[in-house]
Amino acid sequence: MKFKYNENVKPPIPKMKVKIWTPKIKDYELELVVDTGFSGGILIPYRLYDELKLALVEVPSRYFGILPVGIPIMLHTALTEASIEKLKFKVHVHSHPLINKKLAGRELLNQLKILLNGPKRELEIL
Amino acid sequence: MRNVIVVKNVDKNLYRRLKSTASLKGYTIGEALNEAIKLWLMLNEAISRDYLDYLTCRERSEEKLKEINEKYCKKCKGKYVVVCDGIFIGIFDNEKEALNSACKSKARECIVAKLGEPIKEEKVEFGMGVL
Repeated sequence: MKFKYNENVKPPIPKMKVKIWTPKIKDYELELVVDTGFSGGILIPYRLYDELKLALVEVPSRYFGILPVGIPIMLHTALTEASIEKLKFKVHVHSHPLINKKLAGRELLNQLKILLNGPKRELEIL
Repeated sequence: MRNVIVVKNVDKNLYRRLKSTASLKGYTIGEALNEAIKLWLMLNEAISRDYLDYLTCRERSEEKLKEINEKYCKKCKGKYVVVCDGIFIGIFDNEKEALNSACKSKARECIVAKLGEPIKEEKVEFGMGVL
């Protein structure tokens, strides 16, 4: 599986498409920016989290996101199944109203063999 | 394509400050306004009544879950419990049944938990990509 980098950002940034199971749409496709600095699974904007009814499958534990400036914020966290073609993983989906990004973090990335082919501007899942 | 929007009643002093700060940071007025609008919308979402309702429901569910855990922890260890908007929905043999029941509810939020598993506080580290 190969995914082209987002070339609208300078320098171009690797991204990947992941489908997640949600109470509203069984296989919702997300385009996520690869972010190894983010230790969680998947981060999505709160508006989308709410729309996909992920609040119906939340985990009991409380998750706190630590911003780069060291400030903790309480996150909304649901546990769901993510799939990339035939590969399937259990992954946490986090969200907060003040964060508007779609990121793939280390919890998801560490389950994959990924080749970042910079010169070709291509991310490949091996 | 360029979008031109005319806005009436903009405070001249605020506009002057926006213009000078934007130029110092190398932003165009349009880019700075887009950022400001995004931030305003996000802040409004964060303090909206709907969101505060959600937080209240989550708190009620957490309290209820503690009660259920204490009551059924030994008897039903390993089974799954669903609590929605502070109301105990039921105990299920497997995760799939529990998820189905939570999804069918018309609740604002639900917690799906495995009985007997500790409820922890976890930390998630954000990199600069979040900004």
